[in-house]
Amino acid sequence: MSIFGSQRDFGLIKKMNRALLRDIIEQEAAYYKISLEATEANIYGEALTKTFLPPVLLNCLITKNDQVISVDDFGPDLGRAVSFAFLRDDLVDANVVPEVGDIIMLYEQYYEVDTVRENQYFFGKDNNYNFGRSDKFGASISIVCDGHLTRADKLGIRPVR
Amino acid sequence: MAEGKRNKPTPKTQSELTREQITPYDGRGAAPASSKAKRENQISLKDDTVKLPLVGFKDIDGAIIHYFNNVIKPSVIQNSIKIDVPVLYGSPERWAAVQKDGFYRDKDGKIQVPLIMFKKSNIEKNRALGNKLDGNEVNNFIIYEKKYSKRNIYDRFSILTNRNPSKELYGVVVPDYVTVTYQCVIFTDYVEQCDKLIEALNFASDSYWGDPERYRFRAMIDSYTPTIEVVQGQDRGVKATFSIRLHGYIITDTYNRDKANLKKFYSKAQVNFKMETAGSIEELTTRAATPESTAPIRFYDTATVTGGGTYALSTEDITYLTLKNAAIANSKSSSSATFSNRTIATAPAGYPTPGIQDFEVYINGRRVPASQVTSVSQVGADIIVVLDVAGFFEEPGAVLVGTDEILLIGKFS
Repeated sequence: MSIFGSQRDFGLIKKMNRALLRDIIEQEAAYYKISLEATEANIYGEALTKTFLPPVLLNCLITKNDQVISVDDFGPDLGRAVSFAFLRDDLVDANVVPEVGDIIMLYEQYYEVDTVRENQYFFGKDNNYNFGRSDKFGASISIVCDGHLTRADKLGIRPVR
Repeated sequence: MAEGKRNKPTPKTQSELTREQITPYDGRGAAPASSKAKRENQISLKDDTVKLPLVGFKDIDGAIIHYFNNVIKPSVIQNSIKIDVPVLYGSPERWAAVQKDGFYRDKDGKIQVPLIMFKKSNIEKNRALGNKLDGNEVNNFIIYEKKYSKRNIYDRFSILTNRNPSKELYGVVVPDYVTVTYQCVIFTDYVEQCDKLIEALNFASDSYWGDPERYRFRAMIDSYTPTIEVVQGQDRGVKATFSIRLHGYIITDTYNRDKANLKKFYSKAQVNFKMETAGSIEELTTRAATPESTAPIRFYDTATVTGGGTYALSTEDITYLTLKNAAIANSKSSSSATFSNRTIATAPAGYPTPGIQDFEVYINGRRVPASQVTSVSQVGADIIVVLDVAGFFEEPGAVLVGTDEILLIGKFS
């Protein structure tokens, strides 16, 4: 049986991180998930009209990469990649399951989630996969969503042009 | 003895050599192309209100934009809202793309689709439709007339003097015909939108694109290549590339065009003289009795032979040359006709003996070709004409019958 990394220890770390995100860093992003029931896809696997579930405001650690301007026949186009690191328990509390294709709004810019990374574990252990050991040790701390700046016009969340 | 100083001959210019090759199409008058080298054709267009036609690539490009925006009016449905699809020329300047044409971008400069982009990719000269012939001096131009000219201020005196006014004409060079190829891209978020735009464009293909009040050009689209681009870290995009093949023409306003083209000139005014009455028949006869016509010796009697000397026709010569009698055959056989008491004329010295070529034979009013006249000969006091009757009637075994009338015209008495 492990000595360190119990749920009690993890609770301390979780509270410290939550306080850090909410009271010190104070970065927030609105998380949009597509309503699968209300959004119909055509034969090409696309929906000209999308319906989103109500957004959820979440505290997160945001890593913004530099703006990148690419130029082609249509003129200069803006691109940007941003990582949103959420406290996993916050997502659980908000009943949000991050998935590829979700939309995150930051400063009225919309980012489409390309990658969902869940790779930070307390003491390197996942309490959900303990192979017969006690499930009271280890935990998943965060979920990081990597997204790119998307064309807001197609989302229909708000008028863009 | 040395000759005096002589000027060397001036070689002809290419323009003069070209001009010499021009033959008026109706065989009359001067060559149709006027030379701008002539002072009278160098007419200034200063203060002239007539604007000569000018068609450039900008007009052709504008015709495409006009047709897109005003005829095709591409639009898509997105989020239950109809969106007009902006049409832009490819690769604009950055300030224009971001600041001036920012209506298809969000506030941060992110491009919002759908969009249609086009740009020229190839210009090919089309020599099949027409040619101005020579860029150094235009030979082939279209002429149109200005309806009103200050030169022809109306007065009734012109009618009294029967004067046709001078026309004010403008020459416009025959355009350079070109085939312009445009590379176009439809950029949308969805396949369904892209398909709708292709349907609209496909309908407009093979028609004349442009502003009806300006210039229109035939544009053809042969194929479309739709692709779906899904790249990690970027938005999914649907693009369709196609080419517009446009048959256009160019009338440039460059300096060398102005130098080579005759732009303005005037026609010649005319004063018409109608038929006049001279007087009575006696007066006309008196006027016609010129010394030349009443002279005993005509001009050909005293024609000068090349090399000197005078060649005069004798009375015998003149009699022989003007001899031309006609007679109806007195009798006929199956293939010959006899002209009784007729004598073939004897040629004066130096003239050839009269032969078949000196006679014309008619059967019932139809000329017998010389090839079907076998012989014309003097037999005693008669002239016997032997004919190829079967050949003439184109019927084997055909012969002359009693009702056939044989007429002989020629040098006999």
